Amino acid sequence: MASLFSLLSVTRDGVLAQTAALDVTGQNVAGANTPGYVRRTPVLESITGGGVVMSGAARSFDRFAYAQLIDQSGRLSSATARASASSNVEALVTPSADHLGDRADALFDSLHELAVHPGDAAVRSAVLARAEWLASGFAETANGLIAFRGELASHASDVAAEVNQRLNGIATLDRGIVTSRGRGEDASDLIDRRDQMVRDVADRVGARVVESPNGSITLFAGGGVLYEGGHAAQLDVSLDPSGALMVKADRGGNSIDITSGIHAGTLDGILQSRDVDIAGLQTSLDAYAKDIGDSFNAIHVTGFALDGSTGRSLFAPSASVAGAAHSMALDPSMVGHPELLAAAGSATDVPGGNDIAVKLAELARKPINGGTTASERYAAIASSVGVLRTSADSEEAMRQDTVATATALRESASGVSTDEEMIHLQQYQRAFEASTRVLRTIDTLFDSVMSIIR
Amino acid sequence: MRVTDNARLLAVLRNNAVSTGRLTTASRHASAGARVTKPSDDPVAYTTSVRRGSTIANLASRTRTARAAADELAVAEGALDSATELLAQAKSSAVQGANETLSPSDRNALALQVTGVREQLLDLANTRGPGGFVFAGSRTDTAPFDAAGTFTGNDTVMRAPVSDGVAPRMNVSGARAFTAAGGSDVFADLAALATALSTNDLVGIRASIGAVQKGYDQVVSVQVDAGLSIERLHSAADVIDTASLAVGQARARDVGADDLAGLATELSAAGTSYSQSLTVTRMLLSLPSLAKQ
Repeated sequence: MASLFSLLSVTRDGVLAQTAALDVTGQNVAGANTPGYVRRTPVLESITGGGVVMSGAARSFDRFAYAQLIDQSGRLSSATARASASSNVEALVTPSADHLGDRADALFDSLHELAVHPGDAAVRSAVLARAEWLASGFAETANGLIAFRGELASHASDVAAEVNQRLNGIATLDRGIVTSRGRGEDASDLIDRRDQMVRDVADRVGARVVESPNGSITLFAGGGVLYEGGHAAQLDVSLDPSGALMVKADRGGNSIDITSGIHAGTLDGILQSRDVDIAGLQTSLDAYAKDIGDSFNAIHVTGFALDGSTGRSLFAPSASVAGAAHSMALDPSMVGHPELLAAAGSATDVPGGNDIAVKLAELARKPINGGTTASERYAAIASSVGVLRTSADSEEAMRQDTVATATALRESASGVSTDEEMIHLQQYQRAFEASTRVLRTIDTLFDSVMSIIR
Repeated sequence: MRVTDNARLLAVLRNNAVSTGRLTTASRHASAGARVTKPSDDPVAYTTSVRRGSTIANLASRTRTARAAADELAVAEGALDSATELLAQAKSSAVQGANETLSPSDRNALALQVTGVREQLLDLANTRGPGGFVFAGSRTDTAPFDAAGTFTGNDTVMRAPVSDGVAPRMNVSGARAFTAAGGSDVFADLAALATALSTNDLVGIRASIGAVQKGYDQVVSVQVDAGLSIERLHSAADVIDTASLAVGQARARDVGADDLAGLATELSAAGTSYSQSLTVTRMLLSLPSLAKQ
């Protein structure tokens, strides 16, 4: 049979439970903008004797939404890194003015002038200056790409360092989660922070997570295990013998190459840009430089300079395609010697002979080595740069959409709605007020009972 | 599906970013006056524009080459025109000198005139244009005729690269105009006339009339060739100009530079879209909330 004392106990439990629920609501409001925060729902349970107790705060966590989000975030980061790199490449290779096509056209223009005035010293100087301008255009573009690849390698190292920091954090938090849960304590805060770090890792190198019954996770990335059972791997970025990036994961002294397994995250974008996109572009640029240099040289060596000498190359011959753009320059014998430009077709034709100058000028409209005109070759490179960037931008825009959808899903399951929390606030506040009202009633009843005794 | 405050705000941020991006692109196009300014705007249109740009540059080079070559030829043609006048004078002197009633002193005076004509003709044959001695063949740095009228140049043909596979001649043959390579050695003929006049050699004078006439015809023939070459070069330059204009228009069409009204409309539409996006954002941010009660 109920007594005033048991009623007092029930009311006390009610006040405590509503206070705890209000505390959870407060946490939700406070954590509304905290990255990785998962809203909690107070779990109120009846207890024997008619009371209530808040047995815990359930995390409103949707594993599918979370997995979608980290998967899509990793792909977005990859696309963003690739789009950013392709934007830089576009500015480097196809500047709005004075690009390689313009420089080649300028050289051909000066050669037309040379054809009309083969003996004119000023025209000869202009031809040499334009040839040097074209060569320096190739060298500057190649150097720009080399430097940018270097920057991307540094960026990859920075990203790996960030991943290592997160992996260490995940290890610490994961061990804490296992310990807390073992003690029956609420580990929600630790889980929120760990999951956010997992998302950070996914953003950088892509990640997939499997959770074990004790709450611990195993984190896979790049085809390897980056974290398991309290032991985190450490990533190391270096260059392989071919100059391509190599990412190794070292866990417990066992180092494995995970480069080919990385298919998401900023590192993936960097790897694709640096060692596929830009490397391919460098090859095209080198082939273009070698072909245009060889084509000019093949004609120029047959011509005769003002002093009647012959057999000189206009551009320093490149022995191989690799590095041809980087090393492109005027032939050392031509530097500062416009009189050595070979415009005439025979020694007896100098200084007015223009056969070779005409042939060099006509190269503007003829296929150079490699099959197409110099202009076509530049256009083909510009086209590949444009396609590279538009496809990277499209991929980024598409991934932004998928991440927006995944974020909406995650927010729907785990996000905090302040309106909802305000309603919960009212709900628990009313219940708290009702409990205190019961307390006041009990107090009045006690006074009545005590007045009878007195 | 629950829609939280953050989900709503993230959607707003994304929509604003899209509107801002569209406005930025439209303003870039409008300020550049073209829809394609870099490869990523439209790879196909950009590469077509590069090709056409190169073609335009090449056509401009050829036009300039044709006009410069025509200018060089015009210098030679002018010299040849003066040369024909001088040869006409020489022929007139020869005809006068062949008159049997003329006294030896008059013939001597005519001989002096012919010698003067020959010297003036030598000066003309050594005319310099912007590219050097115009009648020297490829030896443009050396006067092609010495005082004795001996030709020291060559007959190398210089051609101007003005169109694919067609390279009109851009120099005049001094050898064909003034030396035996053209049929008559003009300077030797004038020297012979002057000698015949000064020595009262009527037979020699009469023989020189025909020789000078032949030299006159020879120079006129080369002058006509030069004129035709000039005509061809000017005609080629005009054709190239027309072609260049057409390629320029096609290029403008490729990159959307021929539709400034379209670019302005695009910018206006992007501005409107951006304003609407801001309006929606403002409205969403000012929605009532229980937290504000």
